[in-house]
Amino acid sequence: MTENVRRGFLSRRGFLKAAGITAAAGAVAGSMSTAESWLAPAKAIAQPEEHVACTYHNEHCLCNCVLQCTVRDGRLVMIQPRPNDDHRFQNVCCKGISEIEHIYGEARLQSPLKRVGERGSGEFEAISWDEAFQMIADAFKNSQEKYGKDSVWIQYSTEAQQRFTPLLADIINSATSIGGGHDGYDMGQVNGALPATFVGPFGPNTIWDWENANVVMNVNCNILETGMMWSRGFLNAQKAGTKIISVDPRFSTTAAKSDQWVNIEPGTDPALFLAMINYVLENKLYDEENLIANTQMVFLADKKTGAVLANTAKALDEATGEETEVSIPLVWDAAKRTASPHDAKGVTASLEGEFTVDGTVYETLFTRCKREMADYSLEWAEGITGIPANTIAQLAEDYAKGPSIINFGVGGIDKFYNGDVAGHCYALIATLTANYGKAGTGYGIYGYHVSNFDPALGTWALPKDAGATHVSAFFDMVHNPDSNIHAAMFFGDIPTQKSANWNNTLDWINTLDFLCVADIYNSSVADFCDLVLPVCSKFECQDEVGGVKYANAHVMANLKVLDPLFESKSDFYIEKGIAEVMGFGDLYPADGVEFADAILSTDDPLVKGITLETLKANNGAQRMNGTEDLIGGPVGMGCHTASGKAQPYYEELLEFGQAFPAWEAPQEASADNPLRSKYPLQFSQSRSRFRVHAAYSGAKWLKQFYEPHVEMNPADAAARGLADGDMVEAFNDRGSFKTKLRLNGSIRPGGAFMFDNTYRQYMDGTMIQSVTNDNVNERGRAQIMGPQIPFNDTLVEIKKAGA
Amino acid sequence: MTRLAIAIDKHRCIGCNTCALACKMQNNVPDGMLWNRVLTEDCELFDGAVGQYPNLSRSYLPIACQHCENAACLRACPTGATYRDDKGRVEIDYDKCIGCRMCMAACPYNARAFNWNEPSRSTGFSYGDARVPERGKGIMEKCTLCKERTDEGDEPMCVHCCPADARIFGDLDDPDSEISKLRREQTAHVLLEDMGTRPQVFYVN
Repeated sequence: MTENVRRGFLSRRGFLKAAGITAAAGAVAGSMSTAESWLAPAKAIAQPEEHVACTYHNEHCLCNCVLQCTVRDGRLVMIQPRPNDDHRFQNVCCKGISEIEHIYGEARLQSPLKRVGERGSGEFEAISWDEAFQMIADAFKNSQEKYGKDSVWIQYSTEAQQRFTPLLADIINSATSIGGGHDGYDMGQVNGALPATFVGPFGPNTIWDWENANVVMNVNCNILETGMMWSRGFLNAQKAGTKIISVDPRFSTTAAKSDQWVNIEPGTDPALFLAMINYVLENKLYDEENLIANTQMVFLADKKTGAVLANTAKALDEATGEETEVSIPLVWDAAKRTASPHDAKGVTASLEGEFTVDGTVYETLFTRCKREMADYSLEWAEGITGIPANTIAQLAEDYAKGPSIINFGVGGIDKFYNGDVAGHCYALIATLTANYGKAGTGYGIYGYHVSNFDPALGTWALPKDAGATHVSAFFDMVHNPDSNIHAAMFFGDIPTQKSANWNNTLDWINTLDFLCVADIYNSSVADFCDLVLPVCSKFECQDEVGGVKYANAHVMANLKVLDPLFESKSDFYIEKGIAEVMGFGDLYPADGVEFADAILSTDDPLVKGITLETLKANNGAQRMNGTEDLIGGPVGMGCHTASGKAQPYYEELLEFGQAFPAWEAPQEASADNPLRSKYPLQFSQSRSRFRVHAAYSGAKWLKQFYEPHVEMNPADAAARGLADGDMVEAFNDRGSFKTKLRLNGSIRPGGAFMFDNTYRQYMDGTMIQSVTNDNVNERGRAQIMGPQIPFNDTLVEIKKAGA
Repeated sequence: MTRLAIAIDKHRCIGCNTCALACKMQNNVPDGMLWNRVLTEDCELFDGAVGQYPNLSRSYLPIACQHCENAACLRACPTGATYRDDKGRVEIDYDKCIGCRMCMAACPYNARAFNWNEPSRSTGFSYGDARVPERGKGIMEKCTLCKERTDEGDEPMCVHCCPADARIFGDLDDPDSEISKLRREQTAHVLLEDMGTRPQVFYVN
């Protein structure tokens, strides 16, 4: 029986404490109307006008809920899941329902605002859209004429987008982020995991396959909060008998619901997996037959240099049709006692051993792997990770037995300097134990990929000379003293979300001649911009459709629920408005309908017969053709690598000592960093069920449940004389932020935790990115996803605010 | 007879509070009030934990009116405003409520919410199901088991919106219903059983 009930008839105190109205910072919010005063009063009529419309919600929580919305007298009054015969896709969460208040709420940007005070002062005046478009067009033209086309930076994020493909950066040939995972965050583990097979990275199968696994190792992924719609996949797998093991320093909701929680020292996941790999090797828990038949582990490598022994051969490049040279790795043919091409007919490759070829000593990659892993004992890993040796052995046994899955997220170790090593370990242990390619196996980001179906949708055609100048990830631009960027525009708050160490970012902002942000809400960067533009929420469209996309085996339409609130415009019409003033308006679709029709013009059989009209008739979503089976068959042991086999040995990383994964400590939050004497607490941020990063910070219905605060273990707080509810300052040499302290036994001693980012008006004008580590691992430049920002590889100290 | 009720699978409850907001929206519940809340058991802090790191546990407890067969609130109500209807739901006749709050004091589950002032909504307008009656200052309110929906054969909004399928609605008097089967499960239990209120809402682990 719960103590809450017994003690006080359920404490009403906290319940009645309504979320107070927190004034947003600066004149941006100060000049706003309230929703009540802005909207026409409801008419006192006997029969209120009521209609239902469907749209899809956020992309960024990756759940892709399609919502059935009721509008009464022009106001959004109900949000329910759109009915779906497949119950797995009939979804809504607390964030979805909170939009009833949120879209009208205090943080909403209402009209174009031009900065009139100093940067950061928050002094703005309302201007017309015509003035705003002219201001942007002038700034872009001036910059491009003076400094070149790539002196303008335009970047997009899902928060402020409705999913029509952005066109402006391509049309004016501006610079932009590289995209496709090269944005500098979230892809640390993918850097390490993907090249072994090039199957994924979003899971070679879907979460619905978890029921076929004996074990799912859920590594640094709080999926029950960050992707609530996949809780069915998680819970149903448990019901079917799958053991779910969560590895997390924090006792998260997902850890609490898992069959086993493995608490780990932050940033040490690679040590855990390296010891598991060594245990697998020492105890022969690997799949020898598969290693010989389907993996690179039989290839020969120079014992001294690590270079793989290979022949070269002529081949036709499939993409260009031109003759090219390819490398054919050699194995030791035990029957012929000679080195032979791995794909030679009848070759009997040796898995282990040293062999001399033309006077040089070679070893199989398997032998090399055993040699390199030999030092990673259980006891060594216990000393680093804090996980008992016998637990690590048990994890290795459980995993190796299979079928097993490793599910990782984009937080935790992903935001450490050594995140790629963890991902590399997943690939290696899966290769060794053959936990890939078969039902109930695989490794990847399952909380993203819930169907296997990716249709080729149509596009809006642009002239041949269109195309953005792809420069780098945003953080690289901030750190590049030779950056040629003089004017920038962001759809969504990129500068405080996609770059660490805010003071560095601000220094870069101060070098710009012009900075504009288009966003739905008064996000943190707004006060530092020259121009702030209000964007429609996902519920508002100027046309009958504001976007079309596919997700979860469905094609979905962002159908109009409401006319644009206040003076907002969709990102599409903002871009189009700028382009018109710049003389490129004719390159845009006339309206959303024309754009949607272009996207749906495709021969892909998955979406054959699906049009805007049929989407409207089907309440905004239609199941794609032939997508009944969401699990799909096993993908097989073949890989999209050069050899067609699993290749967990990354020869290109030999110079970094990471051809096979090797232990590397976190960059800042390492155990023996002398900085710990000054800043002893490792600071982590991760996503909450009540936010999508900073988005929803102003949603009052959610603020009933969660207000920004930093959490510490009670023992750490007591050692500092801090009490629950104190206003505190977290700081290091980079900067500081202020917020409330809450004590939570779920936090690992030695750590400080905060659900990530909120608008600065809710943190006394401060931001958590003021303290975060922006030293990226340069090894990333040799990797497929580029360097990643180590947000969590950060040390801080916490004291009472003002002390 | 009919006895409508909700079963809550505590393992499947992920503490997301979607049920709390689904209820608030459907029933036009004003600012500062919720008919349905999710608690972290034995913790002051939502998402807190019981025990000392790393020996921890956490469970969520969604709680609203328990629709008791022997409802303490009903017995305390001096005007008959609180009644048990023919579907087994405990309801409030708002016209009969005099705002004495005897029911609020009597309810051991703290499930009732009182309009101490004129209700206000930060949206600036009423939301939710148009069939739900308005409540003014001095009126008591609570979970109706979504009377307006369940009268029409629909499930309550909290059940409809739960993303984890942790809430199961049905008729306890139908022995073949899913909820009746769950009621017979070994882990099925009610809150504060010793109070003798005989809640129809129950929990399974």
